[in-house]
Amino acid sequence: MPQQTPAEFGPLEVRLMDLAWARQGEFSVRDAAEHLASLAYTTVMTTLDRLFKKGYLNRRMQDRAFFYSARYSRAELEQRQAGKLVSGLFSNSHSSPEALISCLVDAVGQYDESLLDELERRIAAKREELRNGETA
Amino acid sequence: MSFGYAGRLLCLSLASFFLVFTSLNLLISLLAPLAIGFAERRRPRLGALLLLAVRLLPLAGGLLFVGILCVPSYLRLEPALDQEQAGPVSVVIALLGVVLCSVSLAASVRALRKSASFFRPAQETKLPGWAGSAGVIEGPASVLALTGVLHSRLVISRELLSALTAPELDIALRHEKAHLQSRDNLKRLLILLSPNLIPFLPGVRAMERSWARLTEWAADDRAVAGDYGDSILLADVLVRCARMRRPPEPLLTSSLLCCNGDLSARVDRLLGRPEPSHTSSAVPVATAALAAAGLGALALHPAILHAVHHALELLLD
Repeated sequence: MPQQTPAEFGPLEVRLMDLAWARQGEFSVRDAAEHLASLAYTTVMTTLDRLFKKGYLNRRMQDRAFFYSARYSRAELEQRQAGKLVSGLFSNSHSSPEALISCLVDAVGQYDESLLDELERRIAAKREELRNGETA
Repeated sequence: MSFGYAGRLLCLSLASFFLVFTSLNLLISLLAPLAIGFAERRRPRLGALLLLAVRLLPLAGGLLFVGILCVPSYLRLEPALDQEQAGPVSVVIALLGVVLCSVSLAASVRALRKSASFFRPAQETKLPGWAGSAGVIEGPASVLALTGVLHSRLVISRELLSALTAPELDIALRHEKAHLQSRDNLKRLLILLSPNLIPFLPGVRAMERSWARLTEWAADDRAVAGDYGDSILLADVLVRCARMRRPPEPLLTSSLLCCNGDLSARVDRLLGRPEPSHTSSAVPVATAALAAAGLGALALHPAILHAVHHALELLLD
């Protein structure tokens, strides 16, 4: 499956995240600015700061310089995005037509555990009843 | 404001569509409890069809009025004057008609795009017993859903795919196949094209919930096809899926009571030896077609066209 950067990133954020994943380690603002030579240092610095605040990058300070690294791998991030997308689509899916999806069971939300236990007991009882009816 | 011949027709069509739509919207909001009670006493498939017909009445009524009465009476009886005045009230109502159509179209397009984008992170896969397109996703554990309207695709979470045995997966897929054959996603789209203009009255929303519930029951019935062993198996799959669900993230607003009640009712129905579902919807469709044909024939009666044209002239002035 071709790899894609999650859809919520802007073009510069995409390039910086690609850099973070390619490096597989830490890099400074200067490293990033040299890699993206066409952009101003301050632009790169601001965008890295934004990605850190959004939670996509780790950051630490050393000798008055920030060093960044990817917080999630590309695959992990895509999974989280897919999970969020799916959760958002499936909230109230049965009662709302907006999602244009037909689900087997409401995919998000909580069921009462004691209710589920009770339902399982009833199912087991009916299974037993059916088995006894077949063998009788 | 003065309009040409075509402009007056457009103004009249939009204004009359809006007025008929709004009137029928109010009517179904008030009659919703009766409609729900009647539908829920029928077999789920018929009950769902009845509720859908009532829910779509504003859209159908508006379109029928414009198509069968407004436009024919105008074309037959309106003199072809170059310019004629249209009253401000009719113009305002026509603009409301434009807004209504725009809002419903925008909501439908948004929903279609959302539905299509949902399948994007899925990995294509082949599922035994499923002839169409299917994909596996990472995400909430118990996802098994049919997305899309004209080209429906099945989506299943990896965790659920691993957890279900072959017979369990088969019965679950038969439930989704029932949704596919009933074109339930297309019906959802039609509901979007008929927005509720009176949200402060709870009737329409209650009708949609009841329709959704009966639709699920109908799909359950079709999947098990009267086999009691399959009913118990499907009930078991539903409960296991419910157990696999993760709690919602803080921004989601699922209702605990709603989920519990619906699941319990579905399981009880399945354990209570459901009757075989009737697959043919020929009688209701034929009845509706005959009724529409009858209405059409009646509407083209000259006296009726004159009366409608006179009423529309009053609206335009």
